[in-house]
Amino acid sequence: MNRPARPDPFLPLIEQTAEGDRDAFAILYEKTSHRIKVYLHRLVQDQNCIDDILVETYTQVWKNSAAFKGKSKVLTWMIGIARNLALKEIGKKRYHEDIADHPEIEAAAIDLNAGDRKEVFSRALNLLSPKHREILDLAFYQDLAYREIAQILKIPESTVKTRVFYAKAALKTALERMGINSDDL
Amino acid sequence: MSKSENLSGMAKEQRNLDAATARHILEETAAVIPPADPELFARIEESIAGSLPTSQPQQTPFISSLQTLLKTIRDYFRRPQLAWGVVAVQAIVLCLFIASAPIKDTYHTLSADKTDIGAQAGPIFYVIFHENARLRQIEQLLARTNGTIINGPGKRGIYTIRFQPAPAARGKKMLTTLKDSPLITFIERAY
Repeated sequence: MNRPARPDPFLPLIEQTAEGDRDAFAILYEKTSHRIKVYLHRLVQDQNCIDDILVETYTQVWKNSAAFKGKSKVLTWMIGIARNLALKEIGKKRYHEDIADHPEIEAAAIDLNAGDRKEVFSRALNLLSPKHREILDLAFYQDLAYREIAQILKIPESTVKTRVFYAKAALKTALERMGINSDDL
Repeated sequence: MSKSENLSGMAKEQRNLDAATARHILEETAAVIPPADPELFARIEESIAGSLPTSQPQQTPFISSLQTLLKTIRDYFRRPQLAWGVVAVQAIVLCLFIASAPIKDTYHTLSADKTDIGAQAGPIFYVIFHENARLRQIEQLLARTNGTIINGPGKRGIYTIRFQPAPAARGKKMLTTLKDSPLITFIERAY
């Protein structure tokens, strides 16, 4: 996950936003809002909440854009803002709730070739704790480096690696509980 | 990490979900999440209307006022003259405290309040007082014979008493006084 640094595609946009350029801010929203929304979806899942957090996130991005010092990538910084707001919303207990808390989930006959493939994956992900869904999203969807994930989660890089490992194991267990062998995917 | 632990870790990783599958699942599930509603941007625009980006992070009024207070205190104590003044005041308070500390009316033993370092070495005796002897009576006897308890009582109730140097005749009389005293059950010269 430690790859060479790539130029930050959103840096010019945040710099223009910092100067009060609303068009640049609109473009930044257009280019990043789906990623932020997906991240919030993994963490919060309540659609109404997600919209409110999204509005608050971009409001803060606008207001604090001039304070952005470039110590991290723009998207990393924005996810950090969204995360703080989301955690206030969901609270600690739900953040740590895990598959072990759902023993009622049982295997169901699922045809992966049919249209319910995405539905199955979504359900499997929903069995994980927000903590595990979050790290999987950051590592495999947002495609952030461990160092960037560590910055967002405010944990050591070694903890990120461990958490990714356990999150993958939890996802595998969730899939198996739904009758899917991950080797068949 | 030992070789076996390393191999064990690799084996666990191999049994785990591989990164490509995880990425595939995450991407497929992200694709079904609809893009943000355009109305949301209207809400954001409404929220930022009239405001401009600032270089200071947004803070709550409480945090802001707390930080201002802390900064004021910090700046106040950074002035060198004032810092030395504070040190001086602390030193004075400490001296006053030590000077006013109670040194009387504290617990003491019979031998503790009269120090004798042997500068005026006189005869020394081992003495056992009568069990019914009162402290006041013992003190009176010692005052009469110019004696000072320098040690004791020991395990068997023996006190070590030093007397002021005196001419032989007077010393003998003093010893007689002590031996005849009903307060003393045993007395013996220590050498």
